[in-house]
Amino acid sequence: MMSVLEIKNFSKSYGGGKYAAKDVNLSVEAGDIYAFIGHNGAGKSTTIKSVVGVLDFEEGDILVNGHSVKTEPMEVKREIAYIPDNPDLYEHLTAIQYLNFIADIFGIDADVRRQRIESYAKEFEIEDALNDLISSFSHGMKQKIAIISALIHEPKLFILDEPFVGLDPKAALTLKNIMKRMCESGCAVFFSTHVLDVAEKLCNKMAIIKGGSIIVTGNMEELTADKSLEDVFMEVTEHE
Amino acid sequence: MNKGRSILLKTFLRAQSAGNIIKYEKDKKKRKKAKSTRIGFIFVYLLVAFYAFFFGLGYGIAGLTDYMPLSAAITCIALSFFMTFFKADGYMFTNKDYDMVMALPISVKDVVSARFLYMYIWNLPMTCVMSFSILAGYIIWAPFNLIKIIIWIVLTPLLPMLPMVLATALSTLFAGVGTKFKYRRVIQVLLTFAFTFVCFTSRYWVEKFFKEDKIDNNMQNIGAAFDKTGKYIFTANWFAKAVNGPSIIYIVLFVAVSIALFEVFSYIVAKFYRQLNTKLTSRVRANKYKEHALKKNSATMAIAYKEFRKFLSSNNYLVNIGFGEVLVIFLCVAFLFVDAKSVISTITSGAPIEPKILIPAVPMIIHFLLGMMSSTCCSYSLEGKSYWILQSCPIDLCDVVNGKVLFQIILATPFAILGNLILSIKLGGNPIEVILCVIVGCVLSIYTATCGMFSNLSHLKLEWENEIEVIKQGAATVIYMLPNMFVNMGLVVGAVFLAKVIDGALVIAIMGVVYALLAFIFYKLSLSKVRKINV
Repeated sequence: MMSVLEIKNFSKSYGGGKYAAKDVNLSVEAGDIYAFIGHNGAGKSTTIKSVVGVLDFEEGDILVNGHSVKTEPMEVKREIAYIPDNPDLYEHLTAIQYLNFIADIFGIDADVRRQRIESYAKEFEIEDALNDLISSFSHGMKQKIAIISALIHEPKLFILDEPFVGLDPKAALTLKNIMKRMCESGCAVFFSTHVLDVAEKLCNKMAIIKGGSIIVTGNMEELTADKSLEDVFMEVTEHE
Repeated sequence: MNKGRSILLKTFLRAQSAGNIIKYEKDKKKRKKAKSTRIGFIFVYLLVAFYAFFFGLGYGIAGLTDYMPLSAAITCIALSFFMTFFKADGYMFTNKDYDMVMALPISVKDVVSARFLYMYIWNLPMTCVMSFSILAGYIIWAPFNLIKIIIWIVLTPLLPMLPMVLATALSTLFAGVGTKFKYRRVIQVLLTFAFTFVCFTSRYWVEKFFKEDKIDNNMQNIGAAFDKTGKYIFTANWFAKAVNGPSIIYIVLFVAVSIALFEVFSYIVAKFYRQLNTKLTSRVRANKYKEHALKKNSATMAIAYKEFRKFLSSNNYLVNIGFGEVLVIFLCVAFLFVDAKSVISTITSGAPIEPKILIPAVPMIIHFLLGMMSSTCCSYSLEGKSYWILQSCPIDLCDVVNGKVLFQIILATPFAILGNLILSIKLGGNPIEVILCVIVGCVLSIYTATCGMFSNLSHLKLEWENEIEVIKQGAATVIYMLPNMFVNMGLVVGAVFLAKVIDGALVIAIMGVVYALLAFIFYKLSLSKVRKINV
């Protein structure tokens, strides 16, 4: 079966001989909720940004549903949705203007987009705020808008960088439910997080990255066995 | 225009327009501020229109109506080139929305061209105001010809295209060269200033090395001067020929070349855009922290030092604010190594001006360069989303104003002293005039700092996507810069003429007293404004 996301021998250097990511290999299948865990500066964001085509890289390749980020970036971007760790939305647009902009880019029909926006806005309880300027929103509200904008085209691969930061407990639960729903419908979720409890409960696979290299990868159940993810993480990152 | 590009462009424009704030903002104060920003811009455009209209009228009176299209084109092209050159880097690269936009299924060429067109559309009102105001003078003096007027109006929006493409290409090139070095920011800034130096002195070098005939300042030869300039700025020449002809061939040539160059530019930059952005936004971690002795400073000094670090860490901030200081250095070097008469002759296109009569205007000449931009015009707005740091510190916001004003004074005053000293001595000033020039130069530095701060606090903008929005195109900057420039130009001429009636030293002293008073008033107004800020 073809992987939804396949990272092959990916390396990224910012110059000066230091690698932000070194020989990273991992594979995300349809139905996976994949946690990407590591300390600050371990190389998580570099890897994620390279996957979504934001960062340029020379070594290795990244494939999304068989399309290479290097040679077929547009095909890749049509299949993914990405939420950065600190989504910088256009502050002087209203929420609905911003969602419309994203829907325009993906060419979503007017009726379909209306239905999807209404449904997600209801789920995240922000229907009344859609006509407000984004500049008036809290961090959590902005995060909710970013999540809705990412879901509007029903992506095959959902990539999130620290998605739970700033979300209230209810919104965090909604996001987790959406992630599960997506996986049940044959999509995949790949996200970085520092919240190990969430990763342990939500994900079926995980990778731990340290100093730019993957040090552990595999099934969550097999890797944790009788220990907690926190114990595993501390153990492998201390010893490596 | 293709779909991705037009959607992006529409969103960029909407995200920055005051219209959205006026329509959707619930906070009355913010709506009022957006409206006053619009009014401020209209005031500036009216000022430019007034100036350009009389500029055009002057050409009409001198019987040079045939040269008016060329003159309008050259003015708009030069203005567009330099206005773009100093901000293109900020518009094209390292945008806050870069990650979001690049992750969308839009081709890189569309992203590049939408960013360029956004900058282009922002520049259009100024070009149109300038060109149409000269056209008004043209309509008054030239025999009425509707076709010519229509061609002028239709082609004007395309005038900035080529200079903006060139300026952005150069800026991109400098950014690209910078990324090859460890100290990329330093290289980029050096290249920018070196190019500016070449531009401002090109006329001198052409005359020196190619022994070209100097252009006389009499009216008969102004036409020849324009012909000569038109030879180099070919789109200006095509615009003039299209209007004067009127010529279909030149209309087609002008339109086709402008659009083709824009498309070629977008295509080429798109090839390197992601790579360049990656390099510009990447930071290699510095070596391990070494402990230094840490000194204790007052809150005001701490703010001033923070401003200094900010100044050094941003290309856009450094280039735009430090530009006047660099020009003063160029001027001082010119006056030190070339005799005063030759320098004046080169700057004024050979006008027969006796150096000594310029002495009363020396502080204003230096102020024209140093006061063109002030860090205080944007330093408060630049706090942006980090403003909470200052707000939550146990300091009076007046200390923040003091710190930012202090930084501008420390930055500009040494150059003011140097410039006034060298110019007044080289122009043959007596000791009293020299001392007065230096003192008034310092007063003008303080005025620049306080006036800029007042402008910034009057048009405070803490919510921005890209720092260039407040550094270069913010209402505070434009409203400070243009009126000051026009008043300054008037005062240079005024000081020279006034010195024919009263003693030159007295003229300098009077200006010093007036500006000291203004500096004090703006300082007090700034303190009162900052106390009322409620974000």
